[in-house]
Amino acid sequence: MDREITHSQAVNEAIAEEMRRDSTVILLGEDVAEAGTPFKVLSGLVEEFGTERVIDTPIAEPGFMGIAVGAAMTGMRPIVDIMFGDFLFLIMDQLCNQAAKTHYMSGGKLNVPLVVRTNLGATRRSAAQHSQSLHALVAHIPGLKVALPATPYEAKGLLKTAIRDDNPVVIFEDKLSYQMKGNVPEEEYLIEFGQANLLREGNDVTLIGTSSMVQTCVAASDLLAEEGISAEVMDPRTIVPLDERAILESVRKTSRAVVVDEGHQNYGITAEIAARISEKAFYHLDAPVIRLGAMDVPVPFSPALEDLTVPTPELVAEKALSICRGELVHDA
Amino acid sequence: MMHDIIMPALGMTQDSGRIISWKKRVGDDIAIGDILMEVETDKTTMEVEAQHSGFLAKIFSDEGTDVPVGEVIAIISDTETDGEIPESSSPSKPEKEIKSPTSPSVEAPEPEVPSLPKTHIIDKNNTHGKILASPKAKRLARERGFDLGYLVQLGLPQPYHVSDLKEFESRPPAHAPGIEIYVRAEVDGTAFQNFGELINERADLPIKVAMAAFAARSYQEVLGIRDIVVQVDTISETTISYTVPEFASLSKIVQTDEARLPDLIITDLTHLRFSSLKSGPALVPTFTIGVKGDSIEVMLISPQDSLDQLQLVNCMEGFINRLEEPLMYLL
Repeated sequence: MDREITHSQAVNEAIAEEMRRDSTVILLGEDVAEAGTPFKVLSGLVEEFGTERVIDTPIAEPGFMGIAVGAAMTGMRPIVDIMFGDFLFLIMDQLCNQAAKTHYMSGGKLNVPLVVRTNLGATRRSAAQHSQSLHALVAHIPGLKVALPATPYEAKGLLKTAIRDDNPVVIFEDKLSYQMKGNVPEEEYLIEFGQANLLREGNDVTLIGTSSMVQTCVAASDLLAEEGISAEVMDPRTIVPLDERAILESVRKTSRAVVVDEGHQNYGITAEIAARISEKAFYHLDAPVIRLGAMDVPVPFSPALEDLTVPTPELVAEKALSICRGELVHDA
Repeated sequence: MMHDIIMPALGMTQDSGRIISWKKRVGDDIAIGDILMEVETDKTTMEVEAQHSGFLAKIFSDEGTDVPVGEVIAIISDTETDGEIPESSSPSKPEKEIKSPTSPSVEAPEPEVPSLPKTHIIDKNNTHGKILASPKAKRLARERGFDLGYLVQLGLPQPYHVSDLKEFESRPPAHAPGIEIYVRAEVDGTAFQNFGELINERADLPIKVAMAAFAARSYQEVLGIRDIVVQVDTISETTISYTVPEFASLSKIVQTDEARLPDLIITDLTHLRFSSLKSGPALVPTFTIGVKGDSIEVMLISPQDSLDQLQLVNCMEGFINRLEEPLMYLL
């Protein structure tokens, strides 16, 4: 049965259900117990599971991330709460050098079944150190899976799958969408990694959006429909593994693609997906593949400037329209 | 890319400015910060600097004219335009019209904003002689046997996209006409005339069959190919196609209704009063045969990609030899 709940409730439910199902699942991070995180996502969990399993840590990310990696190697399934995606920089060694490589370097003898739960997204007026979308950093490291839920339904289904995965998974929630409501079944469900979600079918251009940019792409497809352009909208849901087959199939149909992601454009997710399309669907392309990421500047604190750095439905529609009309996007 | 230069607002209350002098001429190289012109307002005279680099492509407002603030007075282009800016381009005007006492009261038609379509910014010097097209357009063109050069001939702007391929559907011949080459000859027709009468009497074969056979053999010799289809067009009668196997006797040459493009066409004008005719692009090598007194006039036209010059000459040579000594064919 479907009902509407918020993105934060969906996350909360996913963790609670998994903690009930499996006693090795623990939750640790800053303000996860008493405060329930600044976004109130985790309220009520400490009451149900106690401070043994819902652990408030000191403000020391490298320390508690290291604890989690060790716990994961020795039989626990920790969920590490990194309050802001920007703090990933503090746990790079524990995550990328230890968690990501232990299974490989132990000859398969050790697993690291941990989840790093964090967030991304600008336009919350949080300035340059609390507004970044850093999923490309971890997607670059072999051994880490990266999930980018775009709706409450995906937030719950992907998080449950992440907790059950025997390898490290980093899941990024869009901090602006915590209060967004969406249909979530009451029955238990999981969302398989590496399965893209086709939101709109179209023939003229494929808009590939991740996380916060999925709704941007949907809104852009509405704008394009007014111009007589039929846009297909696709949400990969996980970028590692990436549902390359679905993306290529769509682009082979439409011959055009715009890839939209809130991470910085340079060397980012958009670049990776665009490159794969150009490489593997080259003879099906009727226009250059367009990347739209966040502007390559530190996210400004000024609201007027901050809003300019993130792709908007208007910008996505303008670029898509331009390639559909065969205009030169760059000088030939 | 084009950059509009507008009459700047040099003072808080300024409505217009008078261009005292232009410091640059059309075609001049412009760097950011170069003095473009001197402008006089109601209060002062100032030099105005360029905000873009490039080339001064067009000046709309001459020295001495009073121009409203915001009006486009010139254009700087990124590349040398060689006068490509159409004369019809005129600057966009601000909503306020300054009416001089002598100006007629007739409203001028809305001027078009001087911007070129984005598809025109291809710099031909940068394409290295290649035709620019999207990967899909190129693939489809190759699969369908389209030559993108046809789109260039039509003058369509590059790069080409799949939508441009529709031009191939509306073009008259099956493929773009290429370069045609031809050779013409006049030979004594007596022997062939006698031969025609002979085969007609003895074997009840029309002379057309002999023409088809001779042309086919000459063509087969040059290109070394086997069975070919020759179409004989007599203009007034129905067109007949023959299949000519290699080394066939005349009786082995049979009519065919295979609906394919023939390898050769013979335009037979021997029953008409003129001796050569070309009514469209030659898609395949085409012999035109006419009679002039006692001689036979032969023309062979071919697309250059079917026969090169030497092959054309050899094919013609073989054909006229057979016309002069038709009995040799039977041996």
